[in-house]
Amino acid sequence: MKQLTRLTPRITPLACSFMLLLGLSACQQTKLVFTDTQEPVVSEFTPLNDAPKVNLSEGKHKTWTVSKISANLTLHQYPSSPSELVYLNLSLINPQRPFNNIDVLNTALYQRAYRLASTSNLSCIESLRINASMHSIGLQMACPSAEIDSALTLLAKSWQAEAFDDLDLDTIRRQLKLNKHINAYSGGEIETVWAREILGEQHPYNLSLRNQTLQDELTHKDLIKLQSALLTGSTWHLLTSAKGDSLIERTKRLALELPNPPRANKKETNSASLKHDSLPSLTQHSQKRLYIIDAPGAVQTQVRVGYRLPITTSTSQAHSNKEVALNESNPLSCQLLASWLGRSFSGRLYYDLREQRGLTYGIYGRCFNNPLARTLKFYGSTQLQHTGAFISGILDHLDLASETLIEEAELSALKIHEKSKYLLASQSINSAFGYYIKHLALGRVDSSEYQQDIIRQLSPHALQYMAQHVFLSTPTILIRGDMDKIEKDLHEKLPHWEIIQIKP
Amino acid sequence: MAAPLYSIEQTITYRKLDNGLQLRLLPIPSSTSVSVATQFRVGSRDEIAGQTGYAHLFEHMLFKGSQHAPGDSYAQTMSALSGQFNASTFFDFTNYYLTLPSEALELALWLEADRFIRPVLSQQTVENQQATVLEEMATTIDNQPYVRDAMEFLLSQADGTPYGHSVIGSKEDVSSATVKQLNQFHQRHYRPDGTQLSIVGTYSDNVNAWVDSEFGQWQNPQPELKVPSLAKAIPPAPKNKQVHGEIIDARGPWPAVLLAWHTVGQQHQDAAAIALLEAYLFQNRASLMKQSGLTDPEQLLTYSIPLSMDLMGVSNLVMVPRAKTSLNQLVTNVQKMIVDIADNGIDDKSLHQLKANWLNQTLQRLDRPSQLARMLSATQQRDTLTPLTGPWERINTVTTEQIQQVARRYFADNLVRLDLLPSWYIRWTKSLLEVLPEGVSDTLEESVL
Repeated sequence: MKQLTRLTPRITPLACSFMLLLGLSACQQTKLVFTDTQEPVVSEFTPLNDAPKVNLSEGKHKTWTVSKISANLTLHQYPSSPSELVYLNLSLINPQRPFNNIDVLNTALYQRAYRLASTSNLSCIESLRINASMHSIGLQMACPSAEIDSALTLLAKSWQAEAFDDLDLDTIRRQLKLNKHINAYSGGEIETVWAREILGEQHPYNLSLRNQTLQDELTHKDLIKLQSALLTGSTWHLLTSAKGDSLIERTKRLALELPNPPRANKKETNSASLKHDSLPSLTQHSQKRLYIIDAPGAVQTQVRVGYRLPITTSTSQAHSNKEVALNESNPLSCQLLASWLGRSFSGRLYYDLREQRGLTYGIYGRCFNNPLARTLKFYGSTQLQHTGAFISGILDHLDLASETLIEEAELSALKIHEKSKYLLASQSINSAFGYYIKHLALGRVDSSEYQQDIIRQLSPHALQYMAQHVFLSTPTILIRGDMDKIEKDLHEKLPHWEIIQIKP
Repeated sequence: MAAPLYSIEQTITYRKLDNGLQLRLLPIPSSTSVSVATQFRVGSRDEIAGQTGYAHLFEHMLFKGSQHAPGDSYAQTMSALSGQFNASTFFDFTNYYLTLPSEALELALWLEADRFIRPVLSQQTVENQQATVLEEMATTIDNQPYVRDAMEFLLSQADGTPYGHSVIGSKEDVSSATVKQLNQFHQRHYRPDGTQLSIVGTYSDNVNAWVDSEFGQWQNPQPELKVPSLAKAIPPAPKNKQVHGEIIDARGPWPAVLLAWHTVGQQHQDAAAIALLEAYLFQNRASLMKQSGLTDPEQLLTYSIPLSMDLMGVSNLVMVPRAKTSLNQLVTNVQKMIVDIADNGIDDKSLHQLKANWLNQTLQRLDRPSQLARMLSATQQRDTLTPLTGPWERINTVTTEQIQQVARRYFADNLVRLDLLPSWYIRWTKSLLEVLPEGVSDTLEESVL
């Protein structure tokens, strides 16, 4: 494999030309021997003999103390850290609508972080991190307590109009363009195409990113406008591990330094929040289509298989009704199906396709639960010769999950996994901050404890019901690989699927 | 600012079992979880010819069954309880780590001891993990342009040393490994006197009894453990050693240049100064390299991950040029930075900031229990009782003169350079862009991007 992929581009063109002169018609590539498909295998969950017993407590996360400082700024205090560093995270959050061109602002803020690294006297300046998502953008630092005031001022100044004055816009523009090429080079482009295929080109998440014209012609004025536009309908949140009586006063001073989100009138409020029913409708594919990004020379095929799931009002609000159906619009369905099939090591896909058959280094499942879209994605890579068998193996497991009841022992392992995951969400201060911000950005009541109740009572039939509601529809499949080499295998292993080449 | 390092270090309980296993316990009372990290003094350095990749392959095997946790029951149990467990293999060591709710610590120690002491390998599990490792090789090495050739070139620079082959090994050796050979590898290298076990978080008062019960009876094999000494450290290349190679990969989208400097092992007296110099030159945001990229740079991007082994070190830097800039020019730019430090040193303020940043990063690790447990299990022998403050004190005593000296000694005159070149038509286009007037080249670059 190595010889074929690495040397062919260098040697073959010359060698072919020479042989054609001698009257030969073509050069023979080394033939791949494709891997056969196999029936899906499910792990047996056998109890350990004589092992120490574990009784997990009904542990709760450390408590956040929340104080409303002003109409637009809320302070969230977390217990202090062992290092005595003070963690400061200033986040702008808008669960109602995605931030436009957050990719541009993220790049500009990172450039600012590099600039600050050489001009600021703060000992913690290199700890500055920017965490951007569609509905939140946070600047975080970890500083000694003596530097809190200066750090807060620095964070606030990042949101002033002058924040980008010293930045070289050519470098930012070049960086933005370069990111696109790095994605193509590294295979990361598959995620962009995935978002387009699974959500639809007109979904707000796709419309909010990769504005080519803006990126080509970016000016300082544009950056200021972008920054200002983010404020509409958004609120400020300061998350911190600082303690002491002076914190409230400090946060009040911070409130004065932050730009105020414009007060939205009713008309603006309506336009500032995207209702679920105004989103592009869910298009469940009835036809079996496998999209492929051609990547000549790739020695592996990247594979994405997944579903876009509906978000209904009933499940996006507080769970007052305990009779909520565990169908495809319940976020728990998405989360549990991702864990059941896609968790590391003992998820069904990992167990069968890696641990039994060695077709991949890793295959995982994840639920992407955002305010305006929820998707369930299974993802992994495989060498060219396994491509058909690998994809077929994933699809077989989706069918199996719908058709056959889970054994109690496997269900029990899944329940413990979900409980431990919940307990470990605050195992470090960074994970606690990330978990908390995710909930703020979702704009929904944190129903984790309620969900733990549901999981505790989950029956094999309820899990199968979830699987049937999701997996009986046709999944979206997108792969990136060397089309010339794998197309024949795909046709053989997936005869009912139409193979469609797609441009990144 | 360093006070928490000292106060937290005071709370660590250190103990060496009779069989030589080193145990560190660090309580975090406010936590509801516990992190466990076990580091073994075995890595690719210990592999013999024909068995490259065994340390890493064996690491995979330790997830595939042991005497009391047969088959996949270890992975099933840990996946249920933790979801945060993994392992890694390097030249000098292999480590295994996990974080889980505190109530599960006794079970975790029972499982860890069983697999470390009594692993069970079968033909089927070995074959399966051989295939998995080949997939890993494809994902991390072969699927990226330049990577395999560049790796092999760099390794050839360490030919004749224990670091002359890759951690993942050769396809041939990995594919031909047998159950018997891997069992022998385990018996020889997995031993209590080469083990550091660290437990960080909230744990029961019974933890010492559990460790004694699970690990106390573990016997060391013969021969005795070989501990590398500084005397065996691999000396840096002789002065004025310049190596220049090139590789061509038609999948490469653009040329790049890889620079490497042979430095010193972790225990060497110059290691701390070199770490700060690497941060000053390449690593930090405030580094000379990163700052040179902020306004009309000559490079599109740079990347650097220093390698720090027991017996030698390698500083490295990958640079991707702008359209107008040649690889030679990029190399000249870096050499100028180094010569300037070698001639003039750095100022006190810069050194102070470098140390403050080093300290800040280390303090942040105290707030990440899993990383902290791994850090404690990687403690050097000289820091046995000062695993947190020992490294800091070495960093804190570095002077501007020492920075200047290590720049001269290890960076100024020695250089390994590897040009990473794409297909001929991209190389020709690039050469043309370099000789065009700068404005024209920039415009073309922009339109191509």
